[in-house]
Amino acid sequence: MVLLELVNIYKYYGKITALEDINLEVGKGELLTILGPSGSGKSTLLKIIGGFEEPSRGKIYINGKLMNGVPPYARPTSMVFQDLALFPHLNVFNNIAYGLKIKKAPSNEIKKKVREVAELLHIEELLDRRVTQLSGGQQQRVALARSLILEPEILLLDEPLGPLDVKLRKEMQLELRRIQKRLNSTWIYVTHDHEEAMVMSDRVAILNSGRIIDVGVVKEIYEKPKNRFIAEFLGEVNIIECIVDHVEGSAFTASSGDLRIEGLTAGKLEKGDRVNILVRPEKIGITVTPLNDRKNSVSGKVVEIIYKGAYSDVKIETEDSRVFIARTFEPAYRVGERVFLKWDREDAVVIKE
Amino acid sequence: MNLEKIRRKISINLLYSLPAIIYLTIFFYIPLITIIVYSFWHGEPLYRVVRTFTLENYVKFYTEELSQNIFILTNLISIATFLVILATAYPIAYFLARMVKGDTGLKIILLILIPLEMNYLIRVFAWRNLLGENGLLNSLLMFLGLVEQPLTIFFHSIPAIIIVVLHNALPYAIIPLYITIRSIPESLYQAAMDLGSNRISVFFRVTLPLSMPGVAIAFLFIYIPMMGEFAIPALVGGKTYLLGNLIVRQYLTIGNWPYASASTISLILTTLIVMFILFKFLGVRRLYE
Repeated sequence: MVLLELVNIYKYYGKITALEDINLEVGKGELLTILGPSGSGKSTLLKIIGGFEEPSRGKIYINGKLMNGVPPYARPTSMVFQDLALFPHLNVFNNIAYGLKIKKAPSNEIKKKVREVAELLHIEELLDRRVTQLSGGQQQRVALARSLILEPEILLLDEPLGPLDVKLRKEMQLELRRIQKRLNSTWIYVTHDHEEAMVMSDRVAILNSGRIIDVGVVKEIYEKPKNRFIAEFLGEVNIIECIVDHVEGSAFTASSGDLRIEGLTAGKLEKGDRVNILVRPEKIGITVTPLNDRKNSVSGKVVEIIYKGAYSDVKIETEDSRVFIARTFEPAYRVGERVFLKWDREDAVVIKE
Repeated sequence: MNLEKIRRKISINLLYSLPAIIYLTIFFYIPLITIIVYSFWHGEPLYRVVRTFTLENYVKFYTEELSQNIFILTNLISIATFLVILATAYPIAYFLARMVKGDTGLKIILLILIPLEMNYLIRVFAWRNLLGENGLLNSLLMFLGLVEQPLTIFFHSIPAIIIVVLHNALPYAIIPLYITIRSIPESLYQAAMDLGSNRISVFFRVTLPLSMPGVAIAFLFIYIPMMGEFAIPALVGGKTYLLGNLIVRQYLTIGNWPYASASTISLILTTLIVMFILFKFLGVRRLYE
């Protein structure tokens, strides 16, 4: 069931186009992430959904009702702000109860609901504190509680985990996801962190320069990116530009210099097409023994080993100066050592130029 | 070693603050202590002083009906003046802080400050010409045929005091209010609206409570000078006789310095107590936290 529908949204600031032809549907109970680099227009899009900004063109529907011109307080949305925007003159309880007090809910109902949502977020001990006395993570929870208590149709989150340290961030990501699933509510989550987007979302919309360049399930977008920008934005990737030599059904061969590549494609390719072959570092195997099969394989010298704790990224430079990155869990290599790389043709993604 | 460092730091800080310490000692602490000492001596008119310890000046100040009434009237006028100024300054400060973009608000505040560069007494005399019996206001009203006789309510009266102080002290209210309203993050307004507040509710639940420190500072800037004000009541206040006038009269005309000193100290104590209460309860501390 479609809860939110954005149709041909444009937003201009003077001559600058912040958003261009945004079309998006969000279903009930879904967590959709809007992912994009800074300045891509993600916060603007969220503000348009929340009613803080009006689109220059286009229509917003929530539950089939047109929302253009409806102020934030009359929309069934609630926003968790980037800077959290907790009220410094109110304590935790009154911050959380704010929305219900505006609605003039009876005080025993307010107390009951505040307690429930505080328990959900594990902040029931903090209700009497001043918000300025809380840690970053606790403030986060208060901001979330303040929105959740109103049971909004759509919860909007604008990079709420930004200021937290990495460990807390990762914990909060999982916890937020659990809460969202438990409440079965609809969340739109804005972030520039692709790992966060992958951990949290059902679907992700990738925004670049004010346009949605792809929407879909995270796993599919990561493994079958539509273009180079998406592939590069979602993490390390090796890109080989080459020319198709031979096509047979869905299989093809291509070459780049003296590199021979075999691949599979769902799209149509013809001999002579220029294509980009994308291979993720974790799909590349490293070995020190020479390989018999020279297809989908390169050899080169290790130039750098980037230790990342659980794994290491090994940077290899070939004789014709190509650089590859391969991921390994056992970095038993030395800089300068000659190694061989290999990947399966199923793991290479083909993008036509 | 560490102790040595601390000691050196203290001595450097002392050196920096020496000019201020010397200045304050000569022109503030010594006179203040003199006043305190005087207030406990026995005094008689025409500058006669008997140097024996007594509380009679304080007893007289707090128990005599005349000084009690003056004390209450001064407080009432000070508070009324503050309320009139607040009602005028808040909308201006709000407009400059929230409706005007960029630093235009600050530039307008500089313009508001210009009248303050004119001498204080000249400004008061100017108001005499505007509000007086043959002043601009009455001439205009009579010319328009709205009144037969010159109005007296705007001259030699309490409203006249309030009007003149409003003009004199308005910037002292606008500036702290502007600063506190300006410092409220935009996202707080948005959050309040997001949680169901309309614009009026946002004002009463977010803007006003968060600008209370500014209101408190404005109050102090107006209340404290007003408590000791003597020139404005003397020049435009008619028969209005405030604490400042009482003190001036006791020092200069009657010449009972100990009684004048006790009145002065009582005035200082009152303002200190009011300041303490404001700082404690109106969140002024948030300004510098």
